[in-house]
Amino acid sequence: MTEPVAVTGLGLITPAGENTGATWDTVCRGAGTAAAQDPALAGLPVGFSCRVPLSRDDLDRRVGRTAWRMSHNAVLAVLAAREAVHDAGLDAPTWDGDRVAVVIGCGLGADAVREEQARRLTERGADMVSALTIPQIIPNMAAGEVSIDLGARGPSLAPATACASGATAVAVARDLLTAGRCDVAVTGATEAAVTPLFTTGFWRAGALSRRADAVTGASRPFAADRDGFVMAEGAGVLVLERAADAATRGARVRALLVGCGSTSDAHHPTAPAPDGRGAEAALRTALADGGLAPHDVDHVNAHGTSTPANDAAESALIARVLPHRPSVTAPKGVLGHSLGAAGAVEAALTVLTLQHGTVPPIANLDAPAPGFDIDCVTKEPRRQDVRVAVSHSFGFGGHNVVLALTRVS
Amino acid sequence: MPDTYDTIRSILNSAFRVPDDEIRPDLTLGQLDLDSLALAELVLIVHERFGVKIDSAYASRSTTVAQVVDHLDTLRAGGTGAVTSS
Repeated sequence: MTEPVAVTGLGLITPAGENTGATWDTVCRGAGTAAAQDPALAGLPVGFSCRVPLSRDDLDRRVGRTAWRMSHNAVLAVLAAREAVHDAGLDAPTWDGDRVAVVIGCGLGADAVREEQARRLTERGADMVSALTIPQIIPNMAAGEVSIDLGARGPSLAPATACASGATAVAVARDLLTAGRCDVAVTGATEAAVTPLFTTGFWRAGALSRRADAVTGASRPFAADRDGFVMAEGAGVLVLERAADAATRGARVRALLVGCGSTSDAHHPTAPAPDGRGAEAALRTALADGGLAPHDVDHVNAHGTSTPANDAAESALIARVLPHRPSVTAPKGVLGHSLGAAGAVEAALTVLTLQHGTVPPIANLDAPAPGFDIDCVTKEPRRQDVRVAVSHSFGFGGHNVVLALTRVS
Repeated sequence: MPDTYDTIRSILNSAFRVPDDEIRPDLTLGQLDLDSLALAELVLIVHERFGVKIDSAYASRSTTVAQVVDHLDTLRAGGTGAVTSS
């Protein structure tokens, strides 16, 4: 059993809202946020997506002078990190930055930059390639910009485990804290990969919904007629501190992160292992890490991508390991799939479920698909005294990460 | 070419987020917080906008905005673009 750490701050910028409060309110309303005819995807087989509700100009104004050099994913990370640090009641200009770690994951990176600069090189020559190409593309730069912005000089890392990156980042940050490598960890993930190439790539892999005639209903986790996920962008950041440190400084603790489990399927590049053993091991490891048993779990934040394969495997996992039917939600019905960011965004939402005793409904779901023996929350938020929750994240490559969180008693 | 200064001012404001009221002809690019990455990007943007390439001697933190403007006007007029003191 590992020492619990306190979640003392949250920051979110998602298609559901420009901050944590707005995102939570929208997620609790349970309606999809996809918009038809994303201009960046014009002419492609899938042309709809979920975008954050702020223009790049608006985002840049909020970031300030340094925004000019940042890719879109770094801008989102910086804004979410600032919100999380402020929410934690910490003051970046005065803290001991040597003891602050930044762990910001990213699944895909700034591909919009890569695509644009590759086009420039091909069509206009080397002189017309931006000097920002490398600083914007490298997947660790969001973590770098957050470190610069906050004056955080401790370890700075950028885990990449595809759609589990956000959860991996939180788990790594927890380990840095419990190993004494830092006193504060600013952790989460960002993604802004709704680009022509990546969207087409996911479409070619058969992962995207094609429900172009009803886009707000396209992401429908655990529904019988689900047909894939919806591309999304966003960032989620949590501030973690050792529980004893948080208590000493009188911080408000939103929830406790008590366990982390990370495993690999070692099976297939994109398909989950049919027996679900890797995901099950991650869930059992996270619970054991937190000194918990499966029957302690009150609530599951499912990975719930709305793809046929993921939701079937995950439903079977939940029913097998947690047969007492804890409540299940899947925020991707509202938010779409923000890929590398999703695990951090959903960890933050799980913290809010624990804090508020409210489980958001799964968008676009009347009842789980036949054979899915799980208690999906639908239509309305459910009031529930949630003491223990787990958040699942699974990524291409066979990455399985589960976070176990508990309510502050 | 009186539009050159206005265009440079617009580039500094829109591309590099330099507040409009902080931009003055006598300030150096360094005083406007343009670092090495920004200077390289400025050369590219100016090349796209004016069709001429700033000489590397002018893509410097010690060059004033007025010097950049003069240099560009010289280049656009077909001159040598030689460095002049302010």
